[in-house]
Amino acid sequence: MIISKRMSGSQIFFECLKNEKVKTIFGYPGGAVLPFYDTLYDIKEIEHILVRHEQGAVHMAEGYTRATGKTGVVLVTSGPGATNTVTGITDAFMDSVPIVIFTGQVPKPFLGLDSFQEADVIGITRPITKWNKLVRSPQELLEAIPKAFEIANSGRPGPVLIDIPKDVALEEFDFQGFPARTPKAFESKKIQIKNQSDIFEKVLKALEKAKKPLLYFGGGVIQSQACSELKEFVELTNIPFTSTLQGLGGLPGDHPNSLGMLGMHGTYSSNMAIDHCDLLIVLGARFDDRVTGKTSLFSKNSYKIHFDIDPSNMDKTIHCDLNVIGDLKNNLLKILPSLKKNKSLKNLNENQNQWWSTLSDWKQECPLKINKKELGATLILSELNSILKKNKTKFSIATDVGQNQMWASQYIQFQSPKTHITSGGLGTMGFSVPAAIGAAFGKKEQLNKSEKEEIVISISGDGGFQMNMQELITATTYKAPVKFIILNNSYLGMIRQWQELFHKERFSFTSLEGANPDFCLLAKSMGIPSKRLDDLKDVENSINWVLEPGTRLLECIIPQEEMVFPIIPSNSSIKDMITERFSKEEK
Amino acid sequence: MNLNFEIKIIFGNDFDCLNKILNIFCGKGFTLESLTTQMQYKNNKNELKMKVKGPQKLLIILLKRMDTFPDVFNISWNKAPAFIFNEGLQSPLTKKINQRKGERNEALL
Repeated sequence: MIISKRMSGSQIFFECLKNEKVKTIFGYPGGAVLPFYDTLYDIKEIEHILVRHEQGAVHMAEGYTRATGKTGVVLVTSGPGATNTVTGITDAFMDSVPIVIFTGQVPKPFLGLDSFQEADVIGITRPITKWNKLVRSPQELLEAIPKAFEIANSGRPGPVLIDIPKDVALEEFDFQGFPARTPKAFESKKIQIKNQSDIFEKVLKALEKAKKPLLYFGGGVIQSQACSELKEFVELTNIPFTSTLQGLGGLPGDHPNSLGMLGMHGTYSSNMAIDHCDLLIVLGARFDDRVTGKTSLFSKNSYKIHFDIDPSNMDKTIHCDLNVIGDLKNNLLKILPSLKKNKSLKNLNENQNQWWSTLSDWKQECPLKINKKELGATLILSELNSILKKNKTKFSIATDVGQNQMWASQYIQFQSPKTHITSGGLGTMGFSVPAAIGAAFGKKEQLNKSEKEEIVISISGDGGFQMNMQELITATTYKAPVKFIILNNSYLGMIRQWQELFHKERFSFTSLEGANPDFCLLAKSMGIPSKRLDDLKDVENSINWVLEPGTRLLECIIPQEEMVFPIIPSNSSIKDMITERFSKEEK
Repeated sequence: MNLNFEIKIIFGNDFDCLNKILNIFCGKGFTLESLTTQMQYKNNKNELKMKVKGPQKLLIILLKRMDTFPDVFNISWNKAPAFIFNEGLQSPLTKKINQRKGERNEALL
């Protein structure tokens, strides 16, 4: 006998979320989502984090997802509530972050009438979501919500949005349980490439013949949870590797085969290796323009093998000789047994001797420099790295966008996946503060009682920090123990750097000198202990101070002139790499 | 190089899906030469036929991307720059192209 229960749309909504094992949602109430918040008032199984701006909610959900691998959930109201999420959704779309956004909508009879707080959210978010849907009845929620979670996480992950009119949330119907999950049309979209054994043989052949092989991996390795398989692959073949910004942490940063990050601000050795290798194996990366520079000159002489889950990434910017589409973990698992059996692996290692010697020369020729003579970002971040390493501290770092992001990627050695959280594709300033808070919630949720809490650090510049600094109070309210580090040079530093290098030092509207708030006072006003680091002698003490338990803010005063090196100018090649500041005469 | 393409897309039965398909071409330098849609009553799906003119490489990337949309069921076309295609698209050409590509790869290696 089927027992039915009279339930409203909003009650069904939360039943569906519970069914998806959602524990935390990030949201902001409003008129169109009043019924949901009314229902939520009595729900204990789901923690709602009240943000201060809807953009913050989406970045928090992104941080939560990137730190845990679980799907982040956002609940906001119609009109401005929904439009405020657009930057965050685009960010998640660009970086393949699976999050589900629920937006309230005006009641169905008011749709299309320019009603109060009405916006065509479906239309607005169509190009920036994997899938979106306006739900027209509470019964539809039963199908739409599981579908949303499934689509967000299948294939190349990404954001999904469900728009729910207020009358749907209020409407009651007889709930008779969740429908059985049957194969749906969208499930056939999961990439299933058969008979790839010949392709894997080609990969092995290429490896056997290569004298200068290189592995370049991206965030796809972390997304498909293929890090241990990748490590095995690297150790079996002894292949040197470089990573994209999003790939950092996929393999330990201090691994002997690591060349560091590649691309515009990548290390000299990794970019030289890309330029000179004869075999380039690309895993879970998409040849982003920040990586390739001038595409016609990118790794011209190598045989390229590209593994990725997204068919549209294949041959998109760089033509590869062999494309392997599919889930990276599955594909690596298929290759590894043959690799273990392969006797010619010994030759492979012998073939590489000369290559390793060249790589070692490049590493010594132009290492990342740390200026120990004055207080600056390179010194602060390398000191932070040393302290974290010395104390064997488990940590995650969310960075903002610009110089702070690049310095962090260069000077912090990320040791494990899901510890480096950054806005790579869209490059969203204001990302780090909410993303770090979201990550802290995620880490807390995953924590076993016996474990020590993982430290979550937000690194931002003074410009980006101000874009979402209202969320500091969210951290205080929910006791999210985030360490906020601001690298304050009173400039929009990366733009200033480009103005200095490529626009004849015409610093047009990038100075924030005398126009910044007092960050320490601001933190104090939000109940966060703060400290200003402005003396070279205080670096170690200040970093130890900020790493102490609880939410803390450290403002670091760094010179305006400090730049990120090396830099390969946009649409240029390795030959145009700038490794240090020119003197006036050299310019 | 701008080419004329005739594309046929089988998609879900609603405006949202049609809009998503058309939206992907917006603001990317394509010209719409003609467009018709027709209901496939047997499958309860829609068929969109369109002629577009535009940069061929970008068109292929967009078609591959469209192929991952949940409510797009089939994509076919009358003209295809074979050297760009490889795995992923639901095209009868795919197999042949893969074979050709494989042979060329061996030579390169």
